[in-house]
Amino acid sequence: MFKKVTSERHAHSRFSDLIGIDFSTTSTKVVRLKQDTEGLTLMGFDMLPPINFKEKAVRLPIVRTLSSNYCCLAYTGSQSVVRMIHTYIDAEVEVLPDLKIRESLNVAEEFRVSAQLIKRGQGREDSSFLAAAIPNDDAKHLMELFPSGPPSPLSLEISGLSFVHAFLHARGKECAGSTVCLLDAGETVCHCVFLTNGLVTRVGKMPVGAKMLRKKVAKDLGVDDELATRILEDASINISSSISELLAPFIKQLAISKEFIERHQGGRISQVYVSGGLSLFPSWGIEVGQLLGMSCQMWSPLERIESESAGIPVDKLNQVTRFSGAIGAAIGGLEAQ
Amino acid sequence: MIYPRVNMLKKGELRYQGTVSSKFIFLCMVGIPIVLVLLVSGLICSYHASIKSQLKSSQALWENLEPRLNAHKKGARGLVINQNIQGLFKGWEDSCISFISLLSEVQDVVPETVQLTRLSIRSDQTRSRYKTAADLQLDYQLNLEGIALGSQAEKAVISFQKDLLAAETMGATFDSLKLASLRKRIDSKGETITEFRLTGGAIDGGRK
Repeated sequence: MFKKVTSERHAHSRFSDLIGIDFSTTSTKVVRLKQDTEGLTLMGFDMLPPINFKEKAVRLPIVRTLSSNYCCLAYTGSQSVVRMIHTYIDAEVEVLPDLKIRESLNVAEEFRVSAQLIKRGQGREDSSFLAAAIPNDDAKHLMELFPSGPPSPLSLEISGLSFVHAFLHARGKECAGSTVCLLDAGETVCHCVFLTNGLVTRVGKMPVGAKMLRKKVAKDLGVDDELATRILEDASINISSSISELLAPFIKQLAISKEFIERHQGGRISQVYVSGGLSLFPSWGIEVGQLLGMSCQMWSPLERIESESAGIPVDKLNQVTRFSGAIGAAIGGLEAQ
Repeated sequence: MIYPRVNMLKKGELRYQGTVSSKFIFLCMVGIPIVLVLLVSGLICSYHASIKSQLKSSQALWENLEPRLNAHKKGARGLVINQNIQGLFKGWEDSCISFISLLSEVQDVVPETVQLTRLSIRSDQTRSRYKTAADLQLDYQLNLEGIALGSQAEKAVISFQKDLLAAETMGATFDSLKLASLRKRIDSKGETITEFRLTGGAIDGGRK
């Protein structure tokens, strides 16, 4: 018993200071979180250039103030796959075989797969697994960014799933007894996660991002990308028709998921929460809310997290929603210990 | 509210990072002395075993060599005794004088007017056992008495003394030859005769 207590205490002290790193399309986000008895403290965050998976991997240049012994990685790749798997399993089984996951996700051998049991079915009922797959080469490339010394990778998640840790930490209590829809949209992809009483009921990945929106606005208004970005940020010009047209297939898919969830869970979706780089465009949230017929709320991954003022770059504070994947990965690592 | 993590990291890709754990330090603190003690004990045991086997082989060799060594010591002692005996023999041989040549020399040098009445040579050999050859150096004493006739009797006695000392064997045997007494007397026929006595001795003892 003493051994168990000391090993748990040792593990807790080892993993109470973690770095979350999100390798996204436009940048590499790095955050350092520390856990103590009073809660989580943000020690600092930084935005590094994006990783090119086609080039040779070199050690990630993390500044000393952001360094720790362990890091939790989040991967945002266009080839990643996330899906819920509903299948029957025996009572004593908790892990799905890789072959079964590959079949369900429809991916080849070159993909690394993993699945977690979300809800065990009663009797002959199917059990629900949250499954994901990423290209094995990309995973190996990420490992080569940390060849030796600190930080050592502790986990590798898909950022479209890791941001949920940050959401639940920030707003978990608020939506404990309801069904909510989370949208985390970045430069090229948007992940949607439906939570019912805090449990994942549906996940999806759609090829919608800031890049697509920017191109559409630039094309429709005949402006360059830079100006299109400014128009999207300022919301100074009414571009709802362009956005509605662009988002139509995505909203249709989302609406189907919404109806499916509402029918199966027996309750309405109470709120849509948006995060990620795309949420910095006000028109995104407004349009999605209007199209779904409900209000969209933006949340910050730094809610309920104390900040060490010395380690926070002021110019990036307004970009903090882009760190939801990195912060979520770090929180997931801290909670898992 | 714990949200499940879909971790794509393989177990083999995890590596320990950070300061050495207290458990590891404790294990080292306990383990290293034990290992050292075991190591030293092992070394001592192996050294003891090698010494034991060496002692065993040496004992076997000693058992083989000891009789030879005793025989050699015995032989060496016998050799020393032999050498001593040989030395004693040589000493004895050296200390013995040739009485024949001594008497011949006396006969050769004695004048016609001199008659010897007594001649004795004796040594001071008092012990029955001699350990070294030096002990065997005999101190001979010559006692020679006689009478001289004629008017030149004293001169004849003196000459006899000188010639006797100059003789080879006599000179080699005695350091001195003293005229111990010289006196005249008239015999029954009324003639004057001179009685004399010569004594010879070795100053340092033994043969010169």
